[in-house]
Amino acid sequence: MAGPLLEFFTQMDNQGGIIVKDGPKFDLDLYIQNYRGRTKFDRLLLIGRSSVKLCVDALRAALAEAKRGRDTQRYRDVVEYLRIAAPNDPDAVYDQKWLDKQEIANHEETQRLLAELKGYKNNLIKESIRMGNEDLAKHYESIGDLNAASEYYSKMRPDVSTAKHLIDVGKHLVRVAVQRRDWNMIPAHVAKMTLGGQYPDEERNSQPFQKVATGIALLGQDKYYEAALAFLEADPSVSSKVYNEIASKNDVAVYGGLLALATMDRRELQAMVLENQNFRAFLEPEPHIRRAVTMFVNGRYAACIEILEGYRGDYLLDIYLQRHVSKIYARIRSKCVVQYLIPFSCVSLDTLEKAFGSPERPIEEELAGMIEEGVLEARIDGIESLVNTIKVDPRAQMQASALASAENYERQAIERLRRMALAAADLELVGTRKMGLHHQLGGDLAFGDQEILMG
Amino acid sequence: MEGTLATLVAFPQAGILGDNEEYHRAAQAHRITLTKLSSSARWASEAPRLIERLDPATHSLSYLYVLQALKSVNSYPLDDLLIKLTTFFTSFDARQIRYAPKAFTKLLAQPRLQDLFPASVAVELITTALLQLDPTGSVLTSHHTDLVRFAYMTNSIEPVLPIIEKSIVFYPGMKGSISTRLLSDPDLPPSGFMTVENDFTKPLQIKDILEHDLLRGLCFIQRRSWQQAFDALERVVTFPSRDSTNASKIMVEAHRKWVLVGLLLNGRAPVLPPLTSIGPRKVYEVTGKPYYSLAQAFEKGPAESFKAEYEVLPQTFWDEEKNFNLLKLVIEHYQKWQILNLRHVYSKISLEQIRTRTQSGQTAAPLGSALEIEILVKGMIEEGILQGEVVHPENGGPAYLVFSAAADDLTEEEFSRRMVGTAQRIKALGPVVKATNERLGSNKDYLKWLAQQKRREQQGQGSQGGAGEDAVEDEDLMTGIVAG
Repeated sequence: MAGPLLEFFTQMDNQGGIIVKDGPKFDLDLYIQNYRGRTKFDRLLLIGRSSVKLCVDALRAALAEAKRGRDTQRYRDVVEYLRIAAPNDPDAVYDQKWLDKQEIANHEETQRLLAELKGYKNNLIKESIRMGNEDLAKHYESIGDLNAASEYYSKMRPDVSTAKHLIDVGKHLVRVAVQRRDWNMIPAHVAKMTLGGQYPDEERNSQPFQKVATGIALLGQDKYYEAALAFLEADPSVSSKVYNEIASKNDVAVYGGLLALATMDRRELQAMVLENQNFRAFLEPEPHIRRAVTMFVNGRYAACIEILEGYRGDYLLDIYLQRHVSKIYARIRSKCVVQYLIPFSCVSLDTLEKAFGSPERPIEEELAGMIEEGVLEARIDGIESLVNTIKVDPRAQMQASALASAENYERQAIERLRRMALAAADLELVGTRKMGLHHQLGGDLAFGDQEILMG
Repeated sequence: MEGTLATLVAFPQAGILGDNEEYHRAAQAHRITLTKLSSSARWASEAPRLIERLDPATHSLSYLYVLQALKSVNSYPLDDLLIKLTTFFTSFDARQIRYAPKAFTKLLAQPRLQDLFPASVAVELITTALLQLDPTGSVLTSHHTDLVRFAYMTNSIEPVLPIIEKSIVFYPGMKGSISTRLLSDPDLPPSGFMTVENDFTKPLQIKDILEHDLLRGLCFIQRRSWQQAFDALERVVTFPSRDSTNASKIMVEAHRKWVLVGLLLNGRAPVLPPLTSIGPRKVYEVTGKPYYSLAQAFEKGPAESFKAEYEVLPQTFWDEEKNFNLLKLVIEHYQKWQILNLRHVYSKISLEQIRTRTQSGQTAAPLGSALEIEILVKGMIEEGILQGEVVHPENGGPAYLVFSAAADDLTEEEFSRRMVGTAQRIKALGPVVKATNERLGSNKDYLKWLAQQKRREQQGQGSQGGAGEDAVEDEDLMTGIVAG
């Protein structure tokens, strides 16, 4: 790594960023073409900050993207990054003229739209007010004032008059919420987009947007299983233009596939992923996800993990997935190990090491962690290097629970009798208003630190 | 003297043993006679000879009065007196003593047996006597509280165990505890005669009861019976309280020890039982803070943070709270619990692996050698907290520990043995439940409430949805039941 680049990534690392050293499997230009709107810049910037190979290219593309837009803060940010990562790059200088001009223009536009909206409000024409709010909100969004954008988008709601309007309001709000990473608000906005079956066309058209947005929100909240379900339900027949301001068709396949792998058992995967006609269409451009799922279902766990590991770098460059990749992968891994062990009562550690071994961590430690977390029911034989799976014995379980409930019954019975007696003898603690119990009962009683001798 | 003796042995006559009413009348008459006799001038001088002619098991009542006199005669040899006292307390007939609570109390307390006998003998004697009066051990009296305090202070814990292992469910001063049955009724529950009204006990304060259970807990701590200590302390911690903001100092003290004992017992911080009243619960949250964070570190590790948790507070803190020795044990047990937790993961593990995977609570570092681990592990096996064995392979390979798998599942016999044990203990609660029922049965308020319930059921409204006036009644009487 060259000097400035090294410095740049050291800074990123210090800020807690994730850094990907290997080159990704995708082409940056083709990748970014899948998206529309402000997400393009966000994605480029993230790649620039994370990928060593693509850093300068991505930052440059982000800079161009920023200059095409009106958000001056973004421009400043990306130039700042570029100046550290590639100080000699011709783009790595502030275009102060453009900045000043754009800021003035932004200010004027804001004033103009505010004045316009005021005029509409005076005229009391609902449709104009709605449009005025929308224009203003869009303007705020484009200059990066997301709070104001959100505020004015929601002000559109009282004046909607058609189903399309309602859907639009919802989409705007969801989009802004996604940019703000306000995961909790997204389901609420999505819920307001449902029309109760009166307008089937509009509903059908917005279905994938709703599903994708819900899925991303749930992913953001670590609810992986629910998120997987949302992605798996998306309708592929609708053009990806509907939702590519937040995610692409490929993203749906990746998010849905990975999350399903992490949370579902083999039967569910077969029924809900591989045999799901809708989701098949999404999987077409991402055949390796399909392959990984098939491998898992067929019990070839090592192959499944190998495929996924090959793409780890790519997924670490995804704006929503980045934070979750290691967690999702760990879950898939432990699921694979658990599934692998099911048919055996005893497996040698060497076999497991061959199947699942990773250079970073010996399999024994990983297994120990899994057993401690309760994911895996097994015991490790550290001497013979074996893993013995434990078959749950229903008889022993029944006996244990019978004993526990009998003992509990005894304790409860005694405790209740005691409490009744205390109540009858008027021996419950009652506070005195003046000094409180602390003093009243405390006295100078203190027992109990004799040397503990016996044993 | 022969005349006196004839009077003394006149009770109980063989014929009246089966007839409760007759027995009652005769016993009362006999007691009056004895009181009269004991105030006569010759009584004290005749006593040494009389006592030789009486059998403490058959003529317990007479024996008690004569013994009482001997105790106040200074000329009677001390050794003989002690023998007589011992025979009496180990063999008296509890049915007769029900009629002489005052004399019995006096015999115990004036002068105190504790001053006559060596401490452990006195404790054993009183324990035997109290259990003879109340074999269920379910009634608390001031004798109990005195006894346990004395036993703890003099470290005579072993002899007091039989009595502190029983579960107290009756307390002096219960309303409606005066039984309608005769004292002579063999089925009369101990709660029916060991009452304040009968002079068997002094009235007890809340403080006494809390202190009693705390002391029981401390006795068990001394014995390292963690489960019993934990249960006893829990009784103090969950003591019913109607105060919603405060707790007694004894409860706070017990709570701190309860957390530490919980750590020793289960390797993790105990959770307050749902029965804990609101006020104490709030107080514990504040007062228990250092203890809870210590417990957190104990459970989750790493060893450094556990060490930091207890070192951040000066030793004076632990000394002041009288928990330093308990803390020392907790620190000692830190590594033991780490090793114990390994049994959930490993079936066999080399000692060297144990050494690298666990840390000492004192130094927060692994032990120096596998030999030290072996000593620790063997100690645990001997103590019975760890089921397993250390194996030295014959080929000279490294030694390892095998956790026995059998510890988790029970054999059929073991299961049925424990099941039957529990069933018997529950059955043994029968008389206690009956006594409670009887006590409630003679309580005016309870009967009123019961009648209302019945009426409502007959009207087909079920027992729910009572009107406001009933709610007040319910609350008044059933606090314990509802809370439970």
